[in-house]
Amino acid sequence: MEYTVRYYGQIAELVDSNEEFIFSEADTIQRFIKDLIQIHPILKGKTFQVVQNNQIKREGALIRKAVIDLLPQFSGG
Amino acid sequence: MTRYKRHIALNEIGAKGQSKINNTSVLVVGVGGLGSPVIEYLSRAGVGVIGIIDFDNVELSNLQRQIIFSEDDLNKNKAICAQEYIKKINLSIKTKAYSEALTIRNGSEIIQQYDIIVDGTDDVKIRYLLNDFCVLLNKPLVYAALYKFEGQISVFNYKEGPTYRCLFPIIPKEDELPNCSQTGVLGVVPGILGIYQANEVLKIILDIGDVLSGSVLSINLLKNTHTTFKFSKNEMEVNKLIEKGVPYSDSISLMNSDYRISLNSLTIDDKCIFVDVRNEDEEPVIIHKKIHHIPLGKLKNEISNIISDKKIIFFCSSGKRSIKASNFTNKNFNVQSFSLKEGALMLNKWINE
Repeated sequence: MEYTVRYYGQIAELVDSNEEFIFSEADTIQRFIKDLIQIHPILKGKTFQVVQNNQIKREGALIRKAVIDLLPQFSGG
Repeated sequence: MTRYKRHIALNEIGAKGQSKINNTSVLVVGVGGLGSPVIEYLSRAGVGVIGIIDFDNVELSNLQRQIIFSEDDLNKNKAICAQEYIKKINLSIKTKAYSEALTIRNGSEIIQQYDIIVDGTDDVKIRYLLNDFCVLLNKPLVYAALYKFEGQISVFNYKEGPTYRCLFPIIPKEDELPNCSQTGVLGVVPGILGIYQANEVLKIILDIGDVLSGSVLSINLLKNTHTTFKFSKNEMEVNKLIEKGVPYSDSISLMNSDYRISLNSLTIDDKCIFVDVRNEDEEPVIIHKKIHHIPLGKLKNEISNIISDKKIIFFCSSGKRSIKASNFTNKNFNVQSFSLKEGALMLNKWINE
C-alpha cells in the first residue's frame, strides 16, 4: 500500500524532502514508522510526533492510504 | 473609547468586548521575535495589564526581527525596554517588567497574577516549565515556536483542554533542538507567528471563533502551506503532573543553568546582594555595603552565611566563575541567584556613578 508522508522542520532536512510516497505493508503506526526508519535510518532516535490524516496519533491501526505527517518539536522564538 | 472604535464597530466585539479586553491581564514570557509582535498588538488592542518577563538585553542582531526595539535600546534589558515601548503606545495600560528568567522558583508567583500566558521563549526546557505552571495554576497558554521558515501555533490548557505535554509528551534531547541563534530565521516568520498568538489571546478574551485548543497550526512560509493537526488530551500525562504538583522532567533538568543579569536591568536600591567570587588579591577591590566577598573555592562552605530572601548576584572578572557560582547556588539552595554579565571593572564604575 502506498502512503503519502510529509516532513517538517529538522525532519524534512534530515530526509532531504518535504513529501514522498512510501510503500508499506504495515498495519499499525508503529510498524509503519519502523519501515520508514529502514528507508531513512537517519530518523532513528529522533523525536517527532506522528500524524495520521491530520490527527496526531502515536500508536494504533494504520488507516489504508492515510497521509502521514512527521511533526518535530520546534524551539525557536 | 475613541481609540478602540474600530474594535467596537465589530458586532463580535462591541463596547462589552472592548471592556473585556481592557480588563484582562496577559503575561508575555520572552520578548524576542515572538514576544515583540504580541506586545505590539496587545498594547494597541488595550489589554488592561501586560506583564513582560525577560532576563536578556537587546543586542544588535535582535533588531532584524524584534520589532519593538531600536538602536537606542541596545544593551538594555528587554523587559524594561518593552515596558517603555508600551507606555509610548498606550499609557492606559498597566505594565510590569520582570528583568529576570522564569524559573521553577519564581514561576508560580508571577504566573498566578495573570489571566492568559503567552509563550515567547526559545528554549524547550522553559516551554515545559511554562506548560506545567499553567496546568497547575489553570491558565491558558498561547504557544508558538519556529524553525527557519516554519512555525507552529497552539493554545494549551484552554478550558482544561490538551496541554503542551499532550502534544509533545517526549522531551527531546538537548542537542536535537537548535534555536534561532544557531540556525538563523527569516525576520518575518516570528512576526507572523506572534500576530497569530496575539489573535488567539484576543479570541480567548472575547470568547469568539475557534481557539486553537486541541489543534496545532503548522505553517510553512516558503511553501505558503497552513495545516491544522488535531490532538487529544493525554489524561495520564496531565494527571501525572497534577499529582506531582510541581513542574518536572524525567529526562532533563528544568532548572535554567545559565542565569545572567546585566547592570542595565538593576538599580543600587534593588533588593539584592552582590557576591565577589574572585580571589582576595584581584583588582579592582570593590567595597560597598551590598558586596560580600567569597572566593569561588570557598563558596560551598560559606554560601549559607549569606542566604536570605534577597536576590544574589555573583560577579568576577569575565563572568566565568560567577556562572559557576550561580549554577551551584541555584542547584543547591532555594534562592534566586544570577551571574553578572559585566565584570568587576564595570560594577565598580556603576557603583561609583
